[in-house]
Amino acid sequence: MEERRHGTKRIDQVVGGGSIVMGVVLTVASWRLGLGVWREPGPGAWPFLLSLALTLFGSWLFFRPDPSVTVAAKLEPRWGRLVLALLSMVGYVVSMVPLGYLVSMFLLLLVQLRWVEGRRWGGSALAGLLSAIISFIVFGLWLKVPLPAGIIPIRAG
Amino acid sequence: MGIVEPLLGGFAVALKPVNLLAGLVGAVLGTVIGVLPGLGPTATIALLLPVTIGMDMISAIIMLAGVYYGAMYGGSTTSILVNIPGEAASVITCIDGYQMAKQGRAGPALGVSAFGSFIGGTFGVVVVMLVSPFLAEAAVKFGPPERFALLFFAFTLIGYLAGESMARGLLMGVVGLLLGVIGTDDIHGVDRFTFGTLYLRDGIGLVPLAMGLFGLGEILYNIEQREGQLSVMETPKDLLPTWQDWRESAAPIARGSLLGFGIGILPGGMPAISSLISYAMEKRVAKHPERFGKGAIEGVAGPETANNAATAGGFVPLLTLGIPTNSVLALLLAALMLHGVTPGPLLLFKYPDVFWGVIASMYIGNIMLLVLNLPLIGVFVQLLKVPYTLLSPLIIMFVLLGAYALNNSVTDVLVTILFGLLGYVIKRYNLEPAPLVLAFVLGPMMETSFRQSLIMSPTGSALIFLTRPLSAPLLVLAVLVLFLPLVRRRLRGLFQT
Repeated sequence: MEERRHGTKRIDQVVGGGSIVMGVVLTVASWRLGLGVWREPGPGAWPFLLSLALTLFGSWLFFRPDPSVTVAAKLEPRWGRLVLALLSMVGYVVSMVPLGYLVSMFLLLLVQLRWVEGRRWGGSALAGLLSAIISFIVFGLWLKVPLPAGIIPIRAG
Repeated sequence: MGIVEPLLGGFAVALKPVNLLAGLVGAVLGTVIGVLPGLGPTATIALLLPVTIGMDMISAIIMLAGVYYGAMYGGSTTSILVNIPGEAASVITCIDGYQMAKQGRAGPALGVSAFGSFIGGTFGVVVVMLVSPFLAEAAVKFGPPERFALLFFAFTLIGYLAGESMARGLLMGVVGLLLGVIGTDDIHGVDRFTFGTLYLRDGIGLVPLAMGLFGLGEILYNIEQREGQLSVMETPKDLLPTWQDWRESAAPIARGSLLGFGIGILPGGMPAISSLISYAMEKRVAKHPERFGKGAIEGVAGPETANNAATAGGFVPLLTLGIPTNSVLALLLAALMLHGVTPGPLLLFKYPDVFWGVIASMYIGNIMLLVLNLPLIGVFVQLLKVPYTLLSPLIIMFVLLGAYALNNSVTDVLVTILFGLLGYVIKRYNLEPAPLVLAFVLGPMMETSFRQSLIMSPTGSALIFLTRPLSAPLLVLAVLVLFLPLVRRRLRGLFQT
């Protein structure tokens, strides 16, 4: 596929503009934390200086974008697989305590292998199951990491 | 006092079977924890401290020192193979090491990294042995203003990590510094940018941040960009570096040894800083700097050598003055004190077997690590032959487990995923995560030394940075680094006109 090289002038302006806004907001927030005096800087002094620097570098990008810089992406965004991968990870976090490590990790790997990576059903289920069990043995039983037991009552840690 | 005789005595101590075993256990353990994300040398040594109480003192110190420099060797492996830094000093290795692996050159990258680590580590030990007392006195003069100037200089070099645009690199660096501010302020006890959450009071952890930005970010980017089941990795070619690789790596290894040791003996001179400065320096002196970030072997050789030389250098102020220059060495100091030994100028005379035993064990440990790591290169490279569609979910599992194992916290896992998403965005729009992560590491130290400097300033002003003989030149150097590219571009424009 032919690699598409986009100029990044617009990206620089978006990143720069966002940084300016963020910089201003953080400058005010740091000010409110208290700047102190030179001899005894307050908790807001350091973040105040950093926020000013963020505004400065943001302005540099916004007003002087570099059109020669290219983006690495080869294709237009394809959100389907990306969103599925992210959702499965969030699902793992949510289900880890109620379902337990073994079940939630198996489900995460099954989704990743079968739908995100497009491998076959049987292989995905087997690889997911083996990986979940082996990682449970290494981290939970050997390294004593207290992985949540959930619905399978094998206690780790 | 001569060196040969006490050193031979040190070898007699280090070569005792029990001490050899302690060194081997430490080196292996260090390599493993360096490879595993989530467990750093600090956490491991902290966990091992109670275990060492029952051990012989010298064996205990030899084992803990082995963990420290073993972690420096192991940390580079995952950086090169899967773009996940094992610890902070290996962040830089991700930049070119991983690109080399993608081009089927993981073997040479791992080989140069192992040899560079060996040379840097051994060089560091030789210099520790020869010049410890003299250098330690000089290092004491390095106060908060000098430390701030050094850290600021390191920060300005971050701009060079960003590939095509220095402005983007510096912007990412400032974001990293700001992320380092989050949490409770140590001096005033005020919460900063925590939004009332308990989790953020302790600040964001380096491990969730680095694993998310590098590891998950890369995986998510590949998931979105890959078509079908195409691999993102080329088949590994050579297992060891070629003659050309050695030729290109020789000078960076030599420079990395000198630079790493010099930074390692300074308070606050962490191995991560030495690898950052080494990378920037190699890019600066390279005939073709445009190769950096695309798989330049010099970008692996220099930093990997420097971080091991810095590790050895850190033992100078620790053993001769009792000053730990970073958190790992602070724990080693605690281990010595647990056994009733207070490191300082008298250590050499009161406990020569401890001083020379540890020095000799470091020679042996470096050889052990090289012997351990070289045969493993073939094994590690085989890992890349696993289809990426299988490897990718396993890396996700590894990252999420590592994030959880750190504090047994589900929130850490969620934070890792959030940084993974940020890492994807950064990668997609050709921004660079390394400046952000390195600035995040430097930030808290920068703030502390900045505030300490102002408090100790006789006039109560920022002039203290310009009136001290060491900090002023460092700041001038930093300003030059910042503005030199602009001046050069302007001059080039003038000449072209």
